[in-house]
Amino acid sequence: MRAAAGVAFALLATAASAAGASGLVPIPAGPYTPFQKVKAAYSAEAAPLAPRVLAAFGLDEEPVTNAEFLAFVTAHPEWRRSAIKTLFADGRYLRRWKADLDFGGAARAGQPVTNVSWFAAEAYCKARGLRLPTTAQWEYALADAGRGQDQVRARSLEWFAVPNGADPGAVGGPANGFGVRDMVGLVWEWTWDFDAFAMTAESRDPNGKDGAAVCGGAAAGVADASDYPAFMRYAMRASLKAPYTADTLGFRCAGGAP
Amino acid sequence: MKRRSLSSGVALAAILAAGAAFAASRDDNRADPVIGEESAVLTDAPNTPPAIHRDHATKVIVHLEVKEVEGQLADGVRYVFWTFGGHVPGKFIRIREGDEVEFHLDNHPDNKNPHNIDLHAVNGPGGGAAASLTAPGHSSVFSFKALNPGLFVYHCATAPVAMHVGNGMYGLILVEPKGGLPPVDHEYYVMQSDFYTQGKNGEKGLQPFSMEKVIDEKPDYIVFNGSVGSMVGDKALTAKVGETVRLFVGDGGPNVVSSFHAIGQIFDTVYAEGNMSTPTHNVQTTTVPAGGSAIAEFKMSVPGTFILVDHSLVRAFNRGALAQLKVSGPEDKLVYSGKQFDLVYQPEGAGARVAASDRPVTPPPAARNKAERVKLGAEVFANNCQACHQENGLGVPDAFPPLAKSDYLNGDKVRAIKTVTGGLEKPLTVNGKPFNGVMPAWSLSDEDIANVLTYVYSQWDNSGQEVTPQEVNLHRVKAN
Repeated sequence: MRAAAGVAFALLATAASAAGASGLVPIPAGPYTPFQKVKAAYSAEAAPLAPRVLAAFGLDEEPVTNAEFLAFVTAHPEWRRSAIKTLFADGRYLRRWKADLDFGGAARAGQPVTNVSWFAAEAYCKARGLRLPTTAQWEYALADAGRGQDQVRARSLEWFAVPNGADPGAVGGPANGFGVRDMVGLVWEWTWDFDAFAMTAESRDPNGKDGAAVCGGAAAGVADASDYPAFMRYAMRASLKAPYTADTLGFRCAGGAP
Repeated sequence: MKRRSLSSGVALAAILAAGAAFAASRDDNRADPVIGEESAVLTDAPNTPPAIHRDHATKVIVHLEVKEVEGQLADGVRYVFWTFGGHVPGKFIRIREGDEVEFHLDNHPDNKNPHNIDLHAVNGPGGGAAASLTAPGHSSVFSFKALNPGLFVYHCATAPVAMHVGNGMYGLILVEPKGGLPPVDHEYYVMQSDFYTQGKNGEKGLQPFSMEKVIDEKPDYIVFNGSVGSMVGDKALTAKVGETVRLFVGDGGPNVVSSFHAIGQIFDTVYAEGNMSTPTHNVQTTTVPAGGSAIAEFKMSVPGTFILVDHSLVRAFNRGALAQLKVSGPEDKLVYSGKQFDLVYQPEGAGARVAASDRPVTPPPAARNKAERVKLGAEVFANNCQACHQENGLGVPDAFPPLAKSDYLNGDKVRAIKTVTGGLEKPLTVNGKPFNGVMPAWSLSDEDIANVLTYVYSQWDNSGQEVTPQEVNLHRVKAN
């Protein structure tokens, strides 16, 4: 009995340490089909992109938390709320924190940091020798080789139904098949190339930027028009500019294969 | 001949005059000089901003704030609505033909989602949506000139548009014609829309949006002004006899078209699809397309409660598309008498229930002994007798006599058979108390009547005797 419990504990410990020394979960290489179709040059037709192979990479197991971000701004004073340049963040940067080095209560330690601009998120990752994941990497990790996508969509829709104003929940939700957690259900997350897909702001615009049809009724321009949460993610990214911050927008970091 | 052409000429002139009042050209409106500046008065449904009395175009500044808020969809059913201004439907915007509108779309920082706005009153890509995708905590500004008069829908057009609209993101903008609208006593704002929840209609608690149901176009709720019961009881619309009412009706969808109707009130004038150049008259029901509108005007002739519905009736009675207009004032018995008589109608030669025998009935299995007879009789009792005589057999004082320990019942089995089969419509005394109601003649089979009487005799300390189908057949009151 005791032996069995010991084995179970050892297995748990192994799983928990899958993130490895760099703190990143290894995401294996594999085929990735972009959500958005891309218009060929000189063509009005949107043709689906063929799946392409995404190289292996490493991804934070969970969104970056307030406690982790506090350590970063402690070491890098230029990213504190009182010091940040307006070029790098809008007026709501870290607005829920009580002070430069006080995120406002122990309960927030394990919650995703939000109200962080793209510049600040990228600086945080850079300080760890990492960078923000590309949109393709982020979406590939969420797609999880096709596992559990019904739950992903359900959890997304449940999140939209949660009344606004409260802090996001703490990280530590169930891991997907790759071993990453909380990609949906707590916060939106920055990606490195969040603006690469920016359609014209208008969803249904057939004359939008190449590679973009997403923001709207351009259902013909995407791989799966019934995947509403995917539309939501691309629309959110499209609405952003790098200095923007939002109460429900956080991030995690990525790197080469660990 | 000459006279006829003269009168038709007069009619034509009148039409042209009316047309001129309602339809300045788009070029005229574009060129209409903008004088001064004002902030738009915005209102929540069912209220509307005051009529515009300006005789010139002006610059109108509109601030519309997007808020994602928790609210009530039906009794005990909570929902996170996405709104233009804090409520569903969105704020009513009222401007004049030729006005230049400086539009600010403010996305509240608490919100999770980016939003934009497509105003059907705008000539331009996306109706403004192309210029207004706005992240939470940000604000977008664009301007347009109102070239066409009419009652227009506005809505969010951010992907996935059916979810943004399905969560409540729509409202109405009225572009008044230069001549204005005829004065009325009351104006109200009524907007229909459909909602899709993960739980079934009526399931309590906070209900997430259902992606599957909106794609299948199977709404759980179809409502006016954002919730079941938004305009009933204390919140009903009101008017007085002799007053005129104008309803600005919109349909936000995302999917369902409305057959808009006021029960008991004919629309004197309808501007179909919000188009003010061709009013129609004497309309019973008007179609309001999803993403479209109608204006209905009428004068109240008599008092009462008038029910506004989507006349696709299941929507009104099972999904919520129902509102009340309460009208007070003196009766006009010439226009409507009210109920003048209430008479018992008994088709000749039979009890009230005889018509039921027209239906084909599969005969139930016959009881083989008294115990089975009691068991089957209990069902017959529950389906036919219990409503009046009550489950406990005690009846209702002064209305329906008791069966429990009833002297009238226990004293005479044959009288009981005749009462059930022939009905009873005369004063009688049961256990010393007088009753004077109507018992219909029950067109039940000999078997059913034997069973139900045996059941009744077996209950509540009654005599316990059995009644057989043969006895019923022998003593029943035969229909002529």
